[in-house]
Amino acid sequence: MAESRWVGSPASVTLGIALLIDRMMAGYNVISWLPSVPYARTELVRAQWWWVAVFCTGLVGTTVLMVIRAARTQSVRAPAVAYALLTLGAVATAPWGLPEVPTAREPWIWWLIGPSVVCAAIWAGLAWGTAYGAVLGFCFAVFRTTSAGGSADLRTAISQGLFAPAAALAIAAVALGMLKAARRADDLAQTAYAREAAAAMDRALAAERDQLDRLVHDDVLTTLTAAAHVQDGAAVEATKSLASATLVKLDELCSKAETDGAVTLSGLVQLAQTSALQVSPAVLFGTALPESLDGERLPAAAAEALLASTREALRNAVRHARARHVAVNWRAIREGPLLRLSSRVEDDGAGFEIGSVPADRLGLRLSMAERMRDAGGTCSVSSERGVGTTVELAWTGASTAPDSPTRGPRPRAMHALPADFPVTQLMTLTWLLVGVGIFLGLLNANRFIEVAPAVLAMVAMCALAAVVLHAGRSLRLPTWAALSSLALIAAVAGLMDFTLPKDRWPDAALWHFYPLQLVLVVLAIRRRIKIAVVGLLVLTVCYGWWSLRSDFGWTGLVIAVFGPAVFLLLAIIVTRRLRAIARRQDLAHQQEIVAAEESAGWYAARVQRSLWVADLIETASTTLTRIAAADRDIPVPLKTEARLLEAGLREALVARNVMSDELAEVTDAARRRGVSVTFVDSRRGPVPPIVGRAVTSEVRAALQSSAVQKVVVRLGPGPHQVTSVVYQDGARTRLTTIDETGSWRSEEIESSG
Amino acid sequence: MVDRTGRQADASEQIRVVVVDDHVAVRLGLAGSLGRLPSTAGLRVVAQARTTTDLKRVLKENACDVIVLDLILDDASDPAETVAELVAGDYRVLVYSIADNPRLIRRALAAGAHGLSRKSESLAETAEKIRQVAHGQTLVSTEILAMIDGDQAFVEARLSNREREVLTLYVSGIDVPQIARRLYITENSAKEYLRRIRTKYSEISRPAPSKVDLLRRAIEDGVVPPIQPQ
Repeated sequence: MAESRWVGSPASVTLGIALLIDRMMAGYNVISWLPSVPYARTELVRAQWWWVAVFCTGLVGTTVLMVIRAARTQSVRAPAVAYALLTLGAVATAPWGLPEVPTAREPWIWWLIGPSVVCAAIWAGLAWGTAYGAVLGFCFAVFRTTSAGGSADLRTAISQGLFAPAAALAIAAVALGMLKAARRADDLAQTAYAREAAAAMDRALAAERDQLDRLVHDDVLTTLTAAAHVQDGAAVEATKSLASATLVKLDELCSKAETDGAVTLSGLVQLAQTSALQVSPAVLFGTALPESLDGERLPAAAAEALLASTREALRNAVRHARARHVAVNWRAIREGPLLRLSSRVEDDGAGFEIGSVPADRLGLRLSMAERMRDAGGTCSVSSERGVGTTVELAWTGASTAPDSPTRGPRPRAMHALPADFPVTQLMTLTWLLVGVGIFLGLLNANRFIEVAPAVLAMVAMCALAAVVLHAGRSLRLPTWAALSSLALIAAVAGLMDFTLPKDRWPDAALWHFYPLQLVLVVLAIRRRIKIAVVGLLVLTVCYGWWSLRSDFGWTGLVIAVFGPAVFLLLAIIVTRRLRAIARRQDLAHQQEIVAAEESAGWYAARVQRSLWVADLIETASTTLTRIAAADRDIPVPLKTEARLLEAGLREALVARNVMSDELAEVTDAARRRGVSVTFVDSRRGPVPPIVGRAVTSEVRAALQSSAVQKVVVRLGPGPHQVTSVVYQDGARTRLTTIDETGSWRSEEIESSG
Repeated sequence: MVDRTGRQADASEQIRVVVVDDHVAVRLGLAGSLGRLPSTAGLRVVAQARTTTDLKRVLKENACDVIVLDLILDDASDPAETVAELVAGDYRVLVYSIADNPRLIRRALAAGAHGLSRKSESLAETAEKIRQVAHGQTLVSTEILAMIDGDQAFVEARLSNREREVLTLYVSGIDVPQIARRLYITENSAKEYLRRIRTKYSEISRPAPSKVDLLRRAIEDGVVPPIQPQ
């Protein structure tokens, strides 16, 4: 795709419709030239040379350009605008540029008005298109009354000046309606896609977590509890060998980490937010990611390096900086073919002098900088004593485009049009056009041989509109309505045969032509293509009967049938294309979801797992190694360590909806002092960060007292159930309840009567 | 004490325990400790089993009073099925678990397990629970209470506001006397509310003398969310 004026993302519904409209517009322009050729040949040879050079050459050139660009799937915007402006110029200067024409028929430039109004309306919107149509119609009407325009009477001039723009605006309105619907459908699909991708990742994460939990449960926790309780020699040996086996399993899990794939940017940010809040619910998390980049993918290795380094920086800030605020901000921008992604961790804590940090404590330099460098990224640290520290992690590289590019909505059903087809707009426009047609018919009533058949035909036309626009249960028009519409088409065209003049071309007295064309289009859209074709044949017979019995002969018949035939053909092409687009979108939609599930979610889950495993190894491997290497008996301090570590790991599993590094650190320190800390977690999902912050701060405050003996944290089951923290020391019990907004209420509960 | 035939045993008799766990360290740890310390006096591990097949064999060869059963065995057996089978054979079952998987615990309790002991609890606590189970009691612990508390649909559908309030405070770690004072009711009333939760089932001839039984009734009635086998 060389360029597109419509959308940023490739191959969307909008793009499909836009391309279709571009091609139809180019085709409509070409077709509109055809009826004017016989007139143009006689008129142009007598026209002023400058008028021919500027306008005729320009209009032909822009039409050719539109055809070429549309055929090459490029935007026709520029030639369309030029075409509209040239037509306006041509009509406005026609009194001076064109020779006189006979009054009996329209000048050839009348045929250019329709395509010009369509070009203008699609380019600038319906309101500006209407204004353009009004100006153009007015210019044409004025020209028509001049000698160069055939000195037509005012009624003819107004009819012709009104009819062409009105008909063109109807076409443009349908096209713009489809485009608007397509854009809305794209938006919906984008949202649905994001939701489904997030759900897919949650599922993948849950599967990984389950697997890891099983390992933690089966091996790590069992080893630790066995070590904490072990009494006799045989059990000590069994515990030691269990510890060795567990260490081997952890190593295997670590080496199995797969980071070859690609993760989506939105998935990465989701992980980043979870992992930031797991460090501490007080971390302020921010993003600046354009929505259009959500689906971009980056290598899993880069994602893992960014995530792990960001978490390291956050932990440093939360643990050591004594900061009031810690914030992390993720940014992504596209620079040409490259994706630039950065994560910035800032705190307003103590800060330090980088040069004065001893080499063995350069965790940030070694782990973060090295990790980022290995993944092709950079890490920069700036810090000032008393001001704070900023860590900037950045990665720039080519994004990995997904294999399945199309994101589309599901169509309503395989036999129907795509979602959001503007049915109501089409109905309104049909009624509007019937009204305009009847108005023009009444305006030109003096041209009818008899008024009564014309009035009857107008009544039949209203009935016809009502029948084809009958709401029904589905898009497909019911059989009775389809057959009735045929009868009414015959009635309208047949009745008009009796009253149309036979000695001169009736011009605007042919009020029923355009509404009947639109009726055929509606029939095609409503899945009655065969009936529409029969309708066209009925029209051909009726028009033929009138034309062949009058002065116009076969030429009159061709001119009369040309419009409906072309419109019907276009309608058939449009509806078939729309159905094809709908089918393709449905297929692509399925593929996209499968792809999202199988690749991005899968790899994101593995990135997350490697972080969990790294954590687990960091937490448990020292203790497990000491258990495995213990001599005949496991010493009491190691038993205590195993018991405390088991409690911490178990709480991290049981109370994962509220547990963060910060809370784990606080409770671990309390357990070491002999305080009983229990979490009762009945909740089905994580608590909001504001509640997490309130719980952490309440638990921290409760555990600050040296007299505290017991703290119980309970997470209620639902979002409307309060979270509570119960604090007990020898003399009193305090109950603090925290609601979903993070506001809390604390009360003393009497301990003795 | 109740043996597998339901006969009340003499309290002075030793309680015979079978330990089922796929980790040899756990089996040896319990077998080595029960009965040898003052806090575990009166308990004796008569046999150990690694899988459910082992257990069936062991039970044919040994009489026992309490089976201490790990929830996840490496033979991938369904703990609920194992528990149901054992309870049907009149055995008393104490689930011995890390207690990190509420769904599995709920399944085991619904299948008729008589109590739950966490592996991280001290040996003295576990020994006491074995004794209580052997003497016909059905145990209640924070984990079990949390499961009733976590079953929001049940709590909302079945419990009055006051009963829910009492249960919530109870699960929050507050004792019955303190609950009574906080709600301005007598201690007996607080106990009565807890009893009434169980009575709701008793009234319809389906007694639920303990919270575990109550949970069983709730699961039987489908008020607890569907439980998927793992």
